Amino acid sequence: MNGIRVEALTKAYRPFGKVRPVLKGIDLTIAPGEVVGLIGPNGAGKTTLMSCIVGFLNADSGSITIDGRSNDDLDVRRRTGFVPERMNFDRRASGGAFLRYMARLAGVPSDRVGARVDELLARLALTEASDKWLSQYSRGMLQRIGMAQALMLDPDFLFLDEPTSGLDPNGVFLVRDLIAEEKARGAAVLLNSHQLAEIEKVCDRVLFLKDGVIARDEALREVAKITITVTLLAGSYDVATVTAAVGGVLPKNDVVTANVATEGEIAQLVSRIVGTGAGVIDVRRRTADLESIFRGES
Amino acid sequence: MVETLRRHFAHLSYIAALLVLIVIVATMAAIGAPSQAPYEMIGLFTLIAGCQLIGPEFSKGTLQLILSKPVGRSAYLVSRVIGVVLAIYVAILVMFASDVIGRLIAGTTITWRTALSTMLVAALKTLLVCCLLAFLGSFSRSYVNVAIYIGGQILSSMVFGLLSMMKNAVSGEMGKIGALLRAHPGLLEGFAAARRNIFPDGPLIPFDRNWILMMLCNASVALLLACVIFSRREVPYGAD
Repeated sequence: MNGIRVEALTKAYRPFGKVRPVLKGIDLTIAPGEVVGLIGPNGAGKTTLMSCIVGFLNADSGSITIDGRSNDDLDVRRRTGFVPERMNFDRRASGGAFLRYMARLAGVPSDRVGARVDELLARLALTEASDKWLSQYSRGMLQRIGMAQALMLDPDFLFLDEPTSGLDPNGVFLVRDLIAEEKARGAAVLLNSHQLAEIEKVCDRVLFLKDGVIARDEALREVAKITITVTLLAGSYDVATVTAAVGGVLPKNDVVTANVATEGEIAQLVSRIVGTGAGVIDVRRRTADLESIFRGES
Repeated sequence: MVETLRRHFAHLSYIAALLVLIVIVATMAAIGAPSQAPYEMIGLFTLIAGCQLIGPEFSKGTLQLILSKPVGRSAYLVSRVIGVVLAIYVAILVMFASDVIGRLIAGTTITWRTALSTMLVAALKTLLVCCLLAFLGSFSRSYVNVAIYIGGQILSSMVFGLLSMMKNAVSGEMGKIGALLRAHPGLLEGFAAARRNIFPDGPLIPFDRNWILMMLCNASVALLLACVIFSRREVPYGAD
């Protein structure tokens, strides 16, 4: 299966004939089983980019393919799940009725609709609320039922727009687990969120969109680029011995910063430092600092 | 289509409107009023139901949720139109039944030909108005489609009346326009024909085949245009 591929995508809005470019040549790929976060300031073009990829907006130029096919292909749509930031539907429908309608639209065979809806309600902890009208749902419950409809056909491509917005901590954990499950199943996930901590926890890679271009493309969990910091107990070590043990890296302010290729190497490195008699008081694995990226500091 | 019907049947105002229609139609039938009279209300009913065809779904964001599913846009639009039309047809059938039952109970005469013809006219007008509202909704937002429809109806009447008056003018600026209209009678006739096609009156004779054909053709064209425009339309959501 191929993933999501966007090449030289441009899009401009034309309010009252005045051209306002929003996306200025976006290139990105999302591989199957990869979770990519989309961050950026308001007005950067995040929602426009997601709308173009899902097929709500037409690109001015460039190409968007999902598994090698056009993004408006109905077969691709069948394998796509989309969670909007705000779930808007007829509020006089019950949660169960809404999901049954979505199941029929998604093309779930009629004899499987009931079972599939029950499964999703249970998975999203909404079974007890299935008979309640959507008007009685809290923001968090609406977010969860929005997630449920997106997972109707176990999508290969999942687009999430602020999925944890308005959720309580339990809801956040639930969505986080769901994303991890979808990733493990092999789904390509694009997550648009302002919650940097969430992005950091669930994403493999983060795209920082600014002024209509991808200003940064940072791998968060690429094992070949693991950076670790080891804090040593002051006065407990000999600088030359530790430097030799870690391959020539000098401790700075009692902290050794080193790059390793695999997670196994982390344990070996720490073991070598401890073997010199140095006191190790903290070991941290450092990922890209999203806040710094967002602020444009790194 | 089923979902559209469910939304109408679950709507308290739809049920209330049906009950009001039953009472009015039965009362009018009992006093021997012509069958056509209460059907005028269906026009209002159609505008209220038809204005919700597609525009509000754009504005509320419901449409994005639906279009993210493997559903053809044209198929969705047509199913919405059929759903709304059927919901109004239920009201028309209820009115017809109330009319007949009211007359049977009161012992007034039932003119079957008139009653059936009236029902057919209401049904075809409903179809055309819904298709036109779908067309207008395919490029507008919220309830703008019904505003354009009503505005167009009023404006076309005013313009037609004004042009008809100007046609007889002989002096001043009006006289120039009058001369143009007299020299090219097709202008006014064409305008009148377009108006008749978009905002038709009832047929002069019951079960007029030409009138029925005109209504079906116009509704089909409006729906076809609606599908073409809707399938290309962008459906933005949210804000960056």
